Amino acid sequence: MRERRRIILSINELKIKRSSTFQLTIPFLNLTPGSVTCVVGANGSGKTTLVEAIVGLIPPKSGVVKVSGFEAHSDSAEVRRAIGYIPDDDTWIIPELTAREYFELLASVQTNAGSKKRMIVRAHELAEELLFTSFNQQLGSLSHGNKKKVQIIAGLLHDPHFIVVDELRNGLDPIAIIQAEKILKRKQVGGSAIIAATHDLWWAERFADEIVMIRRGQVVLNDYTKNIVERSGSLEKSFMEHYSHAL
Amino acid sequence: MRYKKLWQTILIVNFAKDSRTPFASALSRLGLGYGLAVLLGRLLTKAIGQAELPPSLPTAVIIDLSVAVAFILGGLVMLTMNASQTAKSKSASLQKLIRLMPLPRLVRWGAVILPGLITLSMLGLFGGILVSAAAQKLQADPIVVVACWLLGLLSGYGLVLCGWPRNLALKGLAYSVITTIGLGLFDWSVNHPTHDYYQLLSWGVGAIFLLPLVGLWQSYYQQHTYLLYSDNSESRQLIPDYVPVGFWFLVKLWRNTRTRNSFLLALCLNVLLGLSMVLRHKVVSDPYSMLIIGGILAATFAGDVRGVMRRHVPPEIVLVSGAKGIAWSEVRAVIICGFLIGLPMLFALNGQVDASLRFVFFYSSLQLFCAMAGLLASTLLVPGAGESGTQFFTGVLATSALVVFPKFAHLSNVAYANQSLYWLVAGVILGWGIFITESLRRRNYGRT
Repeated sequence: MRERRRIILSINELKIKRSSTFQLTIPFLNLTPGSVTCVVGANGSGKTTLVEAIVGLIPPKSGVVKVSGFEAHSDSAEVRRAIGYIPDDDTWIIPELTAREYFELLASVQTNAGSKKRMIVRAHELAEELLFTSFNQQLGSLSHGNKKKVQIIAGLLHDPHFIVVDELRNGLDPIAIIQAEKILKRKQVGGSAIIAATHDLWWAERFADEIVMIRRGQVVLNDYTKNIVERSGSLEKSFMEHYSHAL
Repeated sequence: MRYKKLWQTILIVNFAKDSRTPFASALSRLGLGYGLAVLLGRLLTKAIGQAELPPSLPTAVIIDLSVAVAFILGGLVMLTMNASQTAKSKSASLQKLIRLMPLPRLVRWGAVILPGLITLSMLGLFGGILVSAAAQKLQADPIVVVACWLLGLLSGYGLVLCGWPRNLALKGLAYSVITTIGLGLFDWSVNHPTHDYYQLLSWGVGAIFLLPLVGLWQSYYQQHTYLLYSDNSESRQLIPDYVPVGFWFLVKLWRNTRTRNSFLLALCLNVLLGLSMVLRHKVVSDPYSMLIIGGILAATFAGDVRGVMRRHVPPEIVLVSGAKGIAWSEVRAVIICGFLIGLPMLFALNGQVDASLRFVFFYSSLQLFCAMAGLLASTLLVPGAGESGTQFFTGVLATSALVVFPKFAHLSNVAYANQSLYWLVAGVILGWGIFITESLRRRNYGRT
């Protein structure tokens, strides 16, 4: 039984048309504080589309995506402050700025999440955990992994209570992966809801309480991880059952 | 100032490219742009002082002219710059980041329109100096005329920002329709100064050109729809197999949304201008000088071309025998596109000249020069998609070659019909400059 708690993310009858041949349909999805949900699926199944709809970058064709009770694609400052987004895309930075300047920029536009100074301190703490030290280097000249670290810090420095992650492990070294997971787990324990899109089934099984599996834009499985593992033996086996036609 | 960092970042992203001190670079480049605007304005003011202007033009006509010219110029610049933006460009990345920031509506709107406003302000300054001088000479109120000039520029921007039509090609069409109707009405009102409705018509001309100001208001109230990011519906246009291998760059230009839009926009504008001349049976005193419009459009298009490849050692270099192979492919493609862009005006004017062959030779030389000037500017500055500042400066550099060269070669006393060889030779020299630039860039790659 699901707990009756405050809903952070609520999706109802969501339809997003991204091209003439692809439409993502999510009938229902609710996230409560302290939950971790992984969205899994093959390449091009619609994971990133779902993530971008949740953070309000893509307008729904129909249906509703609400974050903390506000429509995700509205300009509501409450929604923007609530979400911490860690994208899987190198272009989500400003290459001309140094990491320090970038964090200062983000801290300067966040108002209700504590003082700017506090956010900069938080950025340094996160950087220390992720072993990121290149504060004075222009972001465009950073390695792929370091850019990802910057994006993780940028997504978390305002202490959001809803974290949206797209392929957390991509580009990170093993130590940074462990550290990033620790940070997210700590956020979860602190009451933040986390939704993570990934194609890494092993990681999803280990990390998530709940799994949403998408195939060609349709949800084919939405259940607690433990139920899936009990039923199929592992998430990988369950995945192969749903994708058996592709083999 | 709470959003100081945000404004600084917007300047950096749009006006400082490949710089280790980006904010200082952005400021110095903007300073240079404003300085040039003032300098050019002051230089041309002298020409206005010497020009013979009609002594007693009604103020309404001066105001209409100011608004019309500003709208046509501002709209053209903003449409051209907008054609070269893509959802994957650098400024689009900044817009995505801004989309996720908790900003007040006004700040969010300002962040979207600021780069365009800065570009327009340079035109505003340059033209403002000119129209102020012209207004003084015509004994009109310079403040009113300059205000009309600025409103006309903003109206051109409003057309680009407006929510409907969303499609850029339709915006280009709306721009041409507004221009045609506005100028037609202006012609009529000037030719019928004693008509009962003359005053009303004069106001009507101004109103038509200022109508797109609604776009600014619309972009403020419906900004969430402008800032949404969705780049997945991009369709890839395929070129048939019968295109020869040597024309691969032409294929690349066509497949790239940015250059395709830029080419189609330039071509459409020239087609509409040519059509309006034919339909209105407009006879021009010097058809040769009208060809320059096609030249400017070709130069503007060519200014975008180099940005479709990486600045240093583009991957294509291994397939086309080095930097020279790249340059030669670009030159071929740009010449073809440049010739196509100018053709409508050539057809429209061809019936108005006696020596048709000489006219075509002049056209060919001019288009070659303009295409090479644009490509050289593009090769030097390499404007990436969405880099408004670099795009603007590339456009200015490319088109100013058209002004500077005749002065430099003392062509002002030579009839247009006899200038063909000069333009041709200058075009070839500029082409040579492209080869040298690419070769030097290749040779110096990796050296600090």
